[in-house]
Amino acid sequence: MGHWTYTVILVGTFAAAAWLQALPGVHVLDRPRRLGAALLPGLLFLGWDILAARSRWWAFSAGDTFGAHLLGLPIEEIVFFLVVPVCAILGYEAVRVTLLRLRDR
Amino acid sequence: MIYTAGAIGAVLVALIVDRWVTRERLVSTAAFWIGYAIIFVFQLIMNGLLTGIPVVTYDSAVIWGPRVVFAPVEDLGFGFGLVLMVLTTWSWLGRRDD
Repeated sequence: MGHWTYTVILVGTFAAAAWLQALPGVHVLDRPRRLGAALLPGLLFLGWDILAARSRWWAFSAGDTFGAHLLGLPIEEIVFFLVVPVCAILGYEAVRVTLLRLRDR
Repeated sequence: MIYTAGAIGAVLVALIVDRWVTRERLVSTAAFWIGYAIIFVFQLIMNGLLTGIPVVTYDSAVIWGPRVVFAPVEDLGFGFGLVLMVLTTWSWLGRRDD
């Protein structure tokens, strides 16, 4: 997949969770302000990521990313901090809503 | 092993924010742990791909050594910390909705 590799992994991860939005009672992608604010703790991890890349604790393969960089990180690595938290929230909400429904039955 | 220290720090900070800062206490709920178990499987797949291909390579001097599905074991700590802190914040912001 070459330069598309990391992008395909991100799209695949998002697709694995995005359908949960369609479940009755799951409201995540339609709550943009709450969702955006909930992503803020990810900045802490993004900061650590920037530090790790700058200190060469890790490195990203140039062959698996498109090559555009921001703050010393491939753009794909920054998008990671949007995709992963959104997927986690979708998964959590789907479970929470399902448990509430089972309890009320 | 600064990466190892960072992973332990991530877990501790997330637990402190969940239990004492926001008092959401998601770690005491079934919804969190069932949700996390599902998220965990996908984390292993995604991080396994990133570290197995490898898209990301680590300086062996900063990690402890043991690996889980190609990824340094520390990544489990970072994953838990990120997921817990985001879910705690999401839950805290939604208090008024419930």
